Amino acid sequence: MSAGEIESFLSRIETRLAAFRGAAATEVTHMAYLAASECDVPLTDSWSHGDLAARRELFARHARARGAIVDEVPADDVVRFLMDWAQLEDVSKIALWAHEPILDGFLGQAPDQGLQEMRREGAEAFSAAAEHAELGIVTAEAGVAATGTIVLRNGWRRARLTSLLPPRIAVVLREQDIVFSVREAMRVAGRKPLPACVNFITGPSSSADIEGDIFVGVHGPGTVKIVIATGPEIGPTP
Amino acid sequence: MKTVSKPFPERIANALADPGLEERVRLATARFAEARIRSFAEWPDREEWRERARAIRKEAIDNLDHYLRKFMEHATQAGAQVHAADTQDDAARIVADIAAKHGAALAVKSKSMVSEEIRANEALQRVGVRPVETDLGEYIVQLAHEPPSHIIGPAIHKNREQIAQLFSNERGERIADSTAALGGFAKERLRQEFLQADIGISGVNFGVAETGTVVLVSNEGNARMVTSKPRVHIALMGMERVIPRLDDLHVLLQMLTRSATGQPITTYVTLLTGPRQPQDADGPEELHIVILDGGRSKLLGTHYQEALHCIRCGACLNVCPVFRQIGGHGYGSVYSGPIGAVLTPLLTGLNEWADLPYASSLCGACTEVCPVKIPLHEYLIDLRADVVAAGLRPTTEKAAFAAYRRIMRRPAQYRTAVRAVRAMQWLVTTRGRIRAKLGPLSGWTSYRTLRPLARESFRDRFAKMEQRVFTEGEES
Repeated sequence: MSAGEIESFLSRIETRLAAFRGAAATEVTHMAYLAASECDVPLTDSWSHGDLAARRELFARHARARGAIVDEVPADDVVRFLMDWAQLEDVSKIALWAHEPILDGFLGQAPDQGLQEMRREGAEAFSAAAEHAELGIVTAEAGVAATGTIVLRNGWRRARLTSLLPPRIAVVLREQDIVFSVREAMRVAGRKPLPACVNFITGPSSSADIEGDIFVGVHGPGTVKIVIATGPEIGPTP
Repeated sequence: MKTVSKPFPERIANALADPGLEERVRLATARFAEARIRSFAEWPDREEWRERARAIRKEAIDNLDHYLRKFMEHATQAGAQVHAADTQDDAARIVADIAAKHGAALAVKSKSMVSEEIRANEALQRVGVRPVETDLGEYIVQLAHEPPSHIIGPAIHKNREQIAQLFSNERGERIADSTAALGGFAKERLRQEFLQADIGISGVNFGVAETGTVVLVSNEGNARMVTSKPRVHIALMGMERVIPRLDDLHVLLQMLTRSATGQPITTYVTLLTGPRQPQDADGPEELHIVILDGGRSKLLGTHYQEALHCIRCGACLNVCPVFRQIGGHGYGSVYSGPIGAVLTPLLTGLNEWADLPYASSLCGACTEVCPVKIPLHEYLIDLRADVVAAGLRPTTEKAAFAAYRRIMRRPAQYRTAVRAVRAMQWLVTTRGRIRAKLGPLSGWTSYRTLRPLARESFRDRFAKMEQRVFTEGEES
């Protein structure tokens, strides 16, 4: 579409508004327009509060209420814990975000089809791996205590499909990455450079379109397991 | 923007005659409305949040030229291709052209009201593309060849037996009417479509000017599917979806989801900024954002501008006594309920939609629940005034109101008129009720029986009563 067409589209809007506004548009600061509209009161949900343990507990409570399974596991035990769970669930094909320090232990241990495809890399391999995987494993950038939400920043070697196509996913969340509100999580999500895709995920995929009856796992994963990695840090996610 | 061509009274009569429709719509809207009430009840400073949401929407729309320009610039910088469409037809053509250019055969779609507005499916079919709706409710209504009947619950007018019938026809063998069987069939069928589609088409819940980000919310995950797997993603966006900054999002997201379904946040919130980047593992190679005016600019600078603040939560539909009776299809427009009765005549012309502002009891419940405080029922009154001013009401109505005005201003005439009615009403009274259809009043009397006027008015009785004034302490 030509720049001229866009300009004429915008100028029609400007002409209509200018007659009403009596001036050109002005960008005001966030607080200034909130103050002007008499709603500059800080909102209870806006700022982090409570200590780490309190946020972790609140996160777990809200995530469980939305249908996620939540476990707390020492950071250096996460890989063994997930391998055990995969075995319990009778899973043999796993797709995971490689190159995440906390998941390093996986690469030597699970020589399954999904992983082999992902090692070849490239979009087709990532997609095929995710499509056939019975379990997708990803790492969260943040967790939101107020809602039980996890935040995924997709991108380089972090395929969007890993958390979408498999019937079950496991999300590793470091306890120090749990913030209180969606607002804070949005700041984490929006850190520059902004990735092409960020997902906020709260519980399993569901639909209520058949007489309001809940059907879990309609398009996305029906099982969401969140592993909160506690204790000494294993490096930040890159 | 019409979904049917029948006249309004006929649409209403059809809706009321549909066995069980009212019950199904009432149950679904009550479920949404009660979830919203529970969700707001646990939210101590909800009114401050609501005020903040209104302020954000007001700032965005008051300065729409500025924020839309920023949105377009930033989206383009991120690699998206931005298209501006003056009309619904322009937007449909743009979508069809993109599909044709890529030689697409299959397009998977997540829920978008703009898609309904521009009749994207018809445009795609004309260029040989098969469009598949992937929201479970949208899939149901697509199989039924019907438009969605509710902004967030497209198939609330269908019960499980009807859904089972549609799915069974599609599969060619009987499917049980359990949620598991029905949901399982749709899941399996749609997954194949997701994996094979050439193009994904979504709506846009919010467009963030600061970053050029398209924000999508869904519970099913289909919006993620259509924006992750196909090589091309087309996002259809009403031009008023813009918000200034990323930091505004948490307020509007929460307002949207709590008002719509009572959830503090939907299962998925997806922030898309441009197509996949060169190093990315997956995602679409092209992102096209089609921004639609479609009559919206006509509202700017007018008294009705705030109607563009709408965030499409559907809360006003759920509390509307008219919507609860006739459902979304009765309105005959893409947008139904109170917001539809306001938006439709404003976007596409009063002449064609002069009946819609009357599809309201003016109880004000819509205004009360609106998360961004659009004065919906006041707009409906104003639109009625516009309809009258434009001479779009029947002359008999004008004559009736003139007569009413004259009689109500003159007590003697009023009394004479009432006596005349009392003397004549036996003609239309059977078994103590007025059941006959009364000419211009038949709109009422077709659905209601009226009580006749009392034999004697209070005024006449009072005149005959013993006139005795009691003073304090006196016994009767």
